[in-house]
Amino acid sequence: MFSLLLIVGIGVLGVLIYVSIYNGLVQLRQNVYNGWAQIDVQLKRRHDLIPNLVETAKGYLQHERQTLENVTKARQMAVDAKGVADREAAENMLTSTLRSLFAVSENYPQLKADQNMIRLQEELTTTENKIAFARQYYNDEVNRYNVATQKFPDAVVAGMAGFKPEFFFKTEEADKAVPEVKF
Amino acid sequence: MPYSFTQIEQEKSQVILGVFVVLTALFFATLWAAYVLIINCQNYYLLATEPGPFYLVFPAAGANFCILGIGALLTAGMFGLSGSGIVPRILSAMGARDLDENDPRQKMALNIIDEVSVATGGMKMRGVLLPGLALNAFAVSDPSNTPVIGVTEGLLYKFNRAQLEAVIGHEAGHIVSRDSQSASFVSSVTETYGAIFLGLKTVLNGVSYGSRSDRRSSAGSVFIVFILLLMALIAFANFVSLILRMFISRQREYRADAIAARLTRDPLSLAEALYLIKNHRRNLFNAADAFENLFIVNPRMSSLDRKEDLFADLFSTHPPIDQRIKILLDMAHAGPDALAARTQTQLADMEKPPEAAPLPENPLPLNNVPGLVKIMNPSPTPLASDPQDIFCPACVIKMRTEFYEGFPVQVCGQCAGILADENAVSGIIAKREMPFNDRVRQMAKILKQEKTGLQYKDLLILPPSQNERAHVCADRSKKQFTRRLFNAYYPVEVDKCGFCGQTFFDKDELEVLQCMAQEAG
Repeated sequence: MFSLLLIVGIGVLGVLIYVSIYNGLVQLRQNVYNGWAQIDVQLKRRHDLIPNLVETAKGYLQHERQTLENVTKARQMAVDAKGVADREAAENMLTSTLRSLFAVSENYPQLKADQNMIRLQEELTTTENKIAFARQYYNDEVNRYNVATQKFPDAVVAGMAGFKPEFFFKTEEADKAVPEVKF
Repeated sequence: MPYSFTQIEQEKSQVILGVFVVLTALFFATLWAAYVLIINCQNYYLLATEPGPFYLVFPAAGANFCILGIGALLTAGMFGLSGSGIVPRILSAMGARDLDENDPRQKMALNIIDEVSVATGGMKMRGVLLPGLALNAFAVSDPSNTPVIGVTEGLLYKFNRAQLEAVIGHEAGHIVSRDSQSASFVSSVTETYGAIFLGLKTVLNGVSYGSRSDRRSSAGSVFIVFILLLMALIAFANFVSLILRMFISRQREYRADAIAARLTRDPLSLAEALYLIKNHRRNLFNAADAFENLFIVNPRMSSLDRKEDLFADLFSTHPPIDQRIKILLDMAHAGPDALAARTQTQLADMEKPPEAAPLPENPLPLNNVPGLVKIMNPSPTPLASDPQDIFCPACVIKMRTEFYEGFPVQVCGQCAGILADENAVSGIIAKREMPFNDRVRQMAKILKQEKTGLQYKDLLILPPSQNERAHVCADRSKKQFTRRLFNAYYPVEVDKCGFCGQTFFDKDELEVLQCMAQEAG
């Protein structure tokens, strides 16, 4: 009788532990999804700002048509991109074309003084920062989730219930940031 | 080895939780000890009617649980009272207003709050602006309102984007870790001690002054001793929890710094911000005295925060600012020299003294100093609007209430004149936290040399006709100011109302007066 109770007790305990770990993993995975959704929102916001930016800059940058076209093209590619890897590449491309646009606009004081441009620049700065922060949050959450799915005892539950590791959202800078060591 | 921000955050969280548990345990232990004292007092009273040996009694098991329950109820009640709806009350007490989307700078602050919100994973926050040029920021939240982050005007306009972001990150750190709620919980515990202490004091007064005829003198005096013991117990518990509370408050600041570093990944900018705040001279922020623990740096006891002795360690709500900067610099792998170099131009900008007006040959009366141009009163009747409005006697425009050395005064935005009542004036003269600039000092010196050995009759200066100032007295009647010297020791010309006692100081006059009073000795 006692041993039966013991077995039932251990069984119930086991189920409880399983459920709590499972729920914990679901929560972590949900955070990852939320993080992704946030990146998405901010990237869309950037896509929406760019036509305005190009329109404003066009009037001043007569001789920089190539730069403006690159931005427009990169934006279209980013809008059309599907899948994590593709989007990553397209968005990073867009970031670098935007950067060159701002570098070019440094030479046009009139453009820099344009009220509309100042407002757009602040909007883009904040959006870029938000993208960076959203990516940072996403990557932190992916890290927490991935570590959890590999740690005992969560790894057992993750294996049984099919929790797969998620991918990090890499940035161009992170790829490039291999330290150069010279002696 | 320098800590990383995640390590600091974890470590501080554990420490705070531990102290928090100790604080709560202390509260229950105090209640229990008080109960033990009370039943032993009863026991002693019973002995008086049925003599026998006195022995200590301890409560039964059930009674122990009752005490736990009562304690929990008390705390919950206090928490409910102190924690709910504090946000609107605090905001209106500090004169905060929502950040304006149409102002580019304020819009930027709103954007930064949104950015930090993204970094936290989408927590909603509301941004407000505090009037004043001090460099400070605060966060407050309660269970029923959107958490609020406030920055002062000085901070908003003098900090660069990265520094503003870092400061807002720090405040968001307080919100993420619910510091405001836990602070109001902890303070509700201390308030309970205060309430019990007051109750006991009332009882004590009743016993010692009451005329109970049936009171046996020995039993009565024992009763008083018991009450005194109880009061000592409560006072002790209150003292210990005050120290623990301050300790928690300081740990929270460290933790919020660490969270700011985690959110913005920019500890160097936060170090810069703290460095600028530390080296900003005029950083008193008196409107906020009651809420000091909400701010990024203590608005009141700024000298205490810089010291690192035992007293400062025990009783300050904020850790020494240098210590905080050091930790942040460690995170950023930077040295203090980099900090000074990076903030040099900003600091120089902030501390630029106001442009000095050239001193005339004979500086009397002050009206003739070019820097003190007066706009003569075009019509002595102010445009009546709100009866509560106070108008500048010189310019007839609406004055605004500001805090000068901690006292509410009316300030004119046009001529920088100050209207203060008698209490405020005497308080202001006694108090001076900031150094005077050379111009003020020189004017004070010259005035003192010129006017010595004044008699009472010399003090009154009859106003030349064009100098008449309309003044609306506290009783709403239109009295006129008398032009006179402040007093025989401090011969500064002021306009004083003989009826309501209010004094109007033209630009610099109040400062000259303060300078005379402070540097007399």
